[in-house]
Amino acid sequence: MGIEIHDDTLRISDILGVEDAEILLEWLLKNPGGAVDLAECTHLHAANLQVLMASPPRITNWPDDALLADWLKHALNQEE
Amino acid sequence: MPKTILVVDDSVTMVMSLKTSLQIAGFTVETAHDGQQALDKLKTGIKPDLIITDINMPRMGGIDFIRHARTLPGMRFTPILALTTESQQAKRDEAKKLGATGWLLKPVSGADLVKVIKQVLPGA
Amino acid sequence: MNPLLDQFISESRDTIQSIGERLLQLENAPADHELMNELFRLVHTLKGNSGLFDFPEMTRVLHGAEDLMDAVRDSRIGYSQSLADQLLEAMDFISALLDEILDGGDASLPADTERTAAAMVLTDSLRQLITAQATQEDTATPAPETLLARDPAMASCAEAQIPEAARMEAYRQIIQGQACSWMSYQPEEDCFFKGEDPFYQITQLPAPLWRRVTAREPWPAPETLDAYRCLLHFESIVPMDLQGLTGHFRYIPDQVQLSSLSPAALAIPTGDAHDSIPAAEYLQTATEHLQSGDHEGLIQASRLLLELSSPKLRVASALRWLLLVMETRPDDVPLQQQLLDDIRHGAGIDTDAANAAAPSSLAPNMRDMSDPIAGIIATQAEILALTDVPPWLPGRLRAIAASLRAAFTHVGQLTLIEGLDEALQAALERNQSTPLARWLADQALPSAAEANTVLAAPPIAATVPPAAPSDTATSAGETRKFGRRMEDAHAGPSAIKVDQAKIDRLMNLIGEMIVAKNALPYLAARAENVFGVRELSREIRGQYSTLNRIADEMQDAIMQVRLLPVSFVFQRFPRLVRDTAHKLGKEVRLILEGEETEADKNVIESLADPLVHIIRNSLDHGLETPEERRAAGKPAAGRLTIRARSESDRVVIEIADDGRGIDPTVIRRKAYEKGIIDEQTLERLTDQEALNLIFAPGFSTAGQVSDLSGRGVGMDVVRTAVARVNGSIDLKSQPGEGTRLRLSLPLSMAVTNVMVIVSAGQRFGVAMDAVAETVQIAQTNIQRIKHQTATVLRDRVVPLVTLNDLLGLDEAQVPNEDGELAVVVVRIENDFLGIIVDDCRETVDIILKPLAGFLGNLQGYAGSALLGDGSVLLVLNPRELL
Repeated sequence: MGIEIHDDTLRISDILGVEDAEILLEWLLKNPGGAVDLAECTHLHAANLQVLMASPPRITNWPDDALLADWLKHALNQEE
Repeated sequence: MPKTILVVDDSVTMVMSLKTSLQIAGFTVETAHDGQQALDKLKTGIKPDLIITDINMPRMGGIDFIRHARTLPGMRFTPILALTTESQQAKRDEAKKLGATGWLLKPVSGADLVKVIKQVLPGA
Repeated sequence: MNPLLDQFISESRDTIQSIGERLLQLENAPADHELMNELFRLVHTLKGNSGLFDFPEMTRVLHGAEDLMDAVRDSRIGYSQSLADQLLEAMDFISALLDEILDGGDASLPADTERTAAAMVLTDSLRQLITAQATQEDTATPAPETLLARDPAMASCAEAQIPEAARMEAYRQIIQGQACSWMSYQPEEDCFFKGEDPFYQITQLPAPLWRRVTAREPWPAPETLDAYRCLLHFESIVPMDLQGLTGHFRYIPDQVQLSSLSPAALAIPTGDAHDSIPAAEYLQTATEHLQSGDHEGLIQASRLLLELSSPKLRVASALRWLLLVMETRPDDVPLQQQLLDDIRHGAGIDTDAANAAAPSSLAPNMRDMSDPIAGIIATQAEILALTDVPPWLPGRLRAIAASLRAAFTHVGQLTLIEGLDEALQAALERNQSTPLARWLADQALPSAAEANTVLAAPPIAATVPPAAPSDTATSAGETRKFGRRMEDAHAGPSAIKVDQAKIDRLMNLIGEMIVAKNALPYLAARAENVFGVRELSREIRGQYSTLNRIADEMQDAIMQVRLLPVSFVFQRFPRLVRDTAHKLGKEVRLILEGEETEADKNVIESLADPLVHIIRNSLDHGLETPEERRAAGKPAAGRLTIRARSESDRVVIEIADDGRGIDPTVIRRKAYEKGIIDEQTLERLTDQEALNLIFAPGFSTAGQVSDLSGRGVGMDVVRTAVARVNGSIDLKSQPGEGTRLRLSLPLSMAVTNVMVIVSAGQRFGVAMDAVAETVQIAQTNIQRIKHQTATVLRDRVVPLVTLNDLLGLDEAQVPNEDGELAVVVVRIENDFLGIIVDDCRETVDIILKPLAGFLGNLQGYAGSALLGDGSVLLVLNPRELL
């Protein structure tokens, strides 16, 4: 559960909770070219979705969960 | 990590029944018998993932409790379910407006309880 | 009328009254939520109850009203004067229906096209309130295309610009039976602070067929972003039915817009205008093919034009849709027509004004029909689509045929009626709706199921607004009809609910009045005999006769109130007979007649147990098994007839079966074996007298005691129960042919007419029911045979007893001045008995009260009554005296 920082990549696993949105936003502000790895993310709170949409990072891996990935891709206008 | 649920109800029977159902479903359960006691518990540091509260209780009722609880820093985003009867539509609406996430209709069956919780609590 | 229906009508009237009151209260407090809840609950109850019966119009209107009140209580729409008016009008309609049901006295209403049309108009107006108000609040400015605004799902889909491919995918899913809904979810800005996670709500739903996530305003720069102010907006097509989706969002109904998607809502051509395409010729041939049902021709013509058009054009889109519809729903003519219309509009062709203006939801044949008529036809189709086979199906089929004939005649489509009779005949013969449904489908609607869609969702391309009630002659007519009835209903409901206790009190009061009135003749006698004022005596008698008449009428009127139909008891028989026959392995056809015959509540209630006993006896002992019956050359199913009728002031109930009958010789032998009769009697008894022995205490004919007819309880119990309410019972039976029992009961048992007799210086009463005649007999005409005295009356030997002997009084009866003895001849069952008394006096009406307390055990008395002079009269029960 939570956020791991690997250099310029933020790795998110399990659930990204509502309170994490501020951390996520802060990190994205400090790392303008940063990437986010969502492979192990099972859900992220809508507040986090807003952060991702307002300040779209590079996504290195989409969630393994197909439904979540599908929604996120559409939200971030990155559908294939 | 098991999720913690705070159950607030002045009826001992109700608390008991909810507590049993929730424990069976794998939750950790904290209890309080009225809004004031629940608020005191929250202030002393327990941080439930979800709160289930009755509406009509002595000392501090559910509506006031929800209003106060939302002012606590750790409780801003916590899902709260109000325990109501079918006929308490007005109370439900008021509770919702003041910060409740949803409601449960009494009598609550164990299956319904878990279903509703799963719907408002990610990862439950 | 059955009690459930009675209860329903009475409760419904109360409920309608309450609805009226709440609405008036709401006028003064339009925001009172409790009142709105209460209103919803009342309408909801009414609707739920109406569903117990077969009153489709009532349920339809109430459903509309319920949805409206649901929207009001959920604050989706506000209370308004017009809402109250509309709801009151609906309740007036329900009241009128209740009147009609009450008049018919039946739990089903005959089909009535006017009524059906009125119900549809009302329901439409109720539903329009929901959509009209809701859209008013939802969109500040009305959608530019008024054409689209009528279907919110459609409008939303179009606004959201869902790609054609996604819509076609949803369309296919729906065709394959997967319900799809449109969802637009715009969470409140502060929803996170209520513990909500909109994205979690969204991802819990099944994978969407199309989805979009946007922000309700442009995202601010990341530095100024407030992550906790929710600006998200989710839209999707979800493979889920509306009900499930509504349930999912039950906590936040005001943040979502949900609607059920229909094929017609999805099949919207999109693309660039196409003025350069030669569509006119295509449209003409396509319309011809469509009307003649030439699918192949239509498909070929459409393919050809599609090849000629650029795929980006709107006409190409329309053609793709048309081909898809032709492939998947070849019978959906309205939708195909709608798409052709789209091509016509897009191409700017408007040559056939009438065609364009016609509601294209209707099949070509029905194009000229006005909306209410089309509605009627659609309703019939709906009914025909029902798959149940109730016992009243033939009646239903005839009613539908009649409605259809009327509807088609009304619009002058006489040629269409050809074949209706044939279809009806076929339907009746097969006892199923199919032939009629098929005929109707051929004539009018693409399919019966289609009628549902036509009704449920007014299709988008319908360019004509639904007819206002006053638009057509028909609807104006029915408004008037129901309008008049509404006023009648307001003037006074035709039934009121009265507590049983209040009627009992009235009954007691009139009883006392009759007794008090009876004091007047005594007073007249005293005036003449004691005070010697004959004039006054005559005046009192005059007043008495006036009072007497009024009291009689009053008594009669109160009796009327207490009357219940025998159906109150009869209604449980079909079930009883069915279950019992089943248990016994017998086949029985039960025929009930005269269920509407009325009698006093107490009499009716006292009937229940004896009748049940008789029926069980009949099924158990009377009717044979199917094998026995076949062997005897009878139909396998036995017949049990229960028939009620009134005969002057009595109710007669006959229970007849066509079973094995009762053999008098068997009865004689059994009675002798059981010691009920001696050898001498055995030989002397006529067959009829032998049959009557089954009423004797301790007699049971069955070889073994069955658990159905009761242990050792014989017909004597039945006789006693019937006698208790001053009834009589007789029996006729023909061996091999059947048995008939006949119960005769007074209409009322509240007031009894008794004859006052005198014996040993005391007055007694004898019920006039039992008195056959009174005679004076010279002592010389009394013969003594051993210990028994008797006399001959009209060539008949009548045994005589003295009342003093019967009462155990050691006194001789006193003859009159001429040495004659007064004899009251009473009838007990079919025998006559002369009771010698000292004197016979007048007859009086009394309220018979059973003897209470210690006296209650006293044999020989039916009860006591208070007389006009304040004295108490003991009323004899001759049967028990013997």
